Amino acid sequence: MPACLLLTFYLVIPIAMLIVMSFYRSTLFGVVPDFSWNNYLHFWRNPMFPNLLLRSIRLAVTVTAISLLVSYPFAYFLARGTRRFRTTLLILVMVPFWTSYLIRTMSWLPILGIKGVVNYSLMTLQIVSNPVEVFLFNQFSVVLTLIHIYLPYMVVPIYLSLDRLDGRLLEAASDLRTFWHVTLPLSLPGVVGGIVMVFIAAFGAYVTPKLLGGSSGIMFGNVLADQYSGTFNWPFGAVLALIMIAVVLGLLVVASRFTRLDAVFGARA
Amino acid sequence: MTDGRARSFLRIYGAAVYVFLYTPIVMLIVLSFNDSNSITLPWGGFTWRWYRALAENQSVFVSLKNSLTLGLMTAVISTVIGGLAAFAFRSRFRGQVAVMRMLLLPFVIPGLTIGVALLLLFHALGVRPGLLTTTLVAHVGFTLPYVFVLISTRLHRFDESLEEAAMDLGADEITTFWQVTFPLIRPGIVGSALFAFTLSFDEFIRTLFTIGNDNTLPIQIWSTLGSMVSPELNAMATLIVAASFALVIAGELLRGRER
Repeated sequence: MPACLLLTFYLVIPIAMLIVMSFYRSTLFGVVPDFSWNNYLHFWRNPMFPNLLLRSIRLAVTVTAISLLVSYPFAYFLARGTRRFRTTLLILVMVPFWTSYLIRTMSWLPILGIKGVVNYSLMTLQIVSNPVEVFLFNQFSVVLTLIHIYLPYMVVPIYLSLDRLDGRLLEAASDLRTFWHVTLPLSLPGVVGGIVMVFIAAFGAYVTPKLLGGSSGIMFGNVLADQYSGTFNWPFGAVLALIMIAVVLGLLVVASRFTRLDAVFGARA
Repeated sequence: MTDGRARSFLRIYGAAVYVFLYTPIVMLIVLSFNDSNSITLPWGGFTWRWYRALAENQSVFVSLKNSLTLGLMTAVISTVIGGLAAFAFRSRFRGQVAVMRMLLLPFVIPGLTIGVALLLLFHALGVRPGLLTTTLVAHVGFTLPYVFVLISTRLHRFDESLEEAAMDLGADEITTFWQVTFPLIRPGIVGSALFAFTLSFDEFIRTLFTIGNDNTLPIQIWSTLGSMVSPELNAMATLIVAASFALVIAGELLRGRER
């Protein structure tokens, strides 16, 4: 199948290259083939890197948790609270899903900046007298923007799983207790799917923390990318990339205990 | 949860989420018409000058041409390969689950790691990075799983008795495909191609690490963000958003029409 051949070049061989590269040595004169664990040791010996990893995981978990809290009632609204405009409302959620995260990230710059819309409004309303700097270039702006750009990743799978439920079942589940015991468990595949999608997207973020994170909001992906654009330590960058992939695969293993992940992505074997 | 009060609460909540989703984009569009040198408020009056500046910017046209060419080629190749894979999945074969997992894997591997890994691969192969070589491979790999899922969902709903009827009437497999199957699923295939085009047109991170010295529109926006921040950037972003929205809505309508 041509698809397999292409994916071999797109995925399998490149990841194999990462593994090989992670054992190479970076010298002043370039990368030297070797078999050494030094790059891995370098990661563990310098507390900066494990701390950065933990902070990025924490940020991604925060983004995922808030997205879930925001999305569940919203998906419920789409599945149960709409009739006539359902298609239009759904398309309005799907459109950002397919469009540029770079532009959607960028769109927060004029809003949160020191001369941005938020500060402008606060000053016009005389709530503050001087522009407030707390909105941009920190972890807050990164979390807010990641929630904004990846919210549809959470809404769509939850909506799909709620939409599949029998309406009469939900009518019967009209009080909170039945909601906990009937609706919520039945929509679990969508919830798990959304968690997986949002966590992976947030944890793998590069653009958002780079553009809006300042120095305190920097994430794992930024340091990874720096190994290829700034410091040119390709072997160490390969270690960081493999760690990123390992975290993602770990999450998938955990998630697959709760639901069939293949179905989450709409595939049928 | 469905009594009147809960229902109106859900509606207000739903509206609030839409406001959150769309406010930044709407602000971006409004600010692209702002007669001021800063990318944000205060409002200095309505102007077309940022769009005029864009129209006079030669490098934007080069990037636009690159983005369109890349998107078009990605859409065609990805739809053909992904469509073939989706058709292969109509019948059972050995190792089916493994192949499907492989087709879905790109969904969950962060784009950044793919970009970096492809950089290593092309470097080792000695391929010079460029728009229609390395970046094209990256974009086809990126869009392929989407196309595969969209077309296989479509095929899953397909009424196979129509094909059986055609064969009973003496049509061979190739005739049946072109006369019966393909016309019926064509809107779905065109829709998938539109999505693949949009994904490619908007893609950034996999492009950044594979493109070398060429530019696409997202890459140009990125490099501009580092230097000149003017409302011209808002104008460029507005046009990209408008194009993407039009394509996605067209794709959704095409896929919806045949349900």
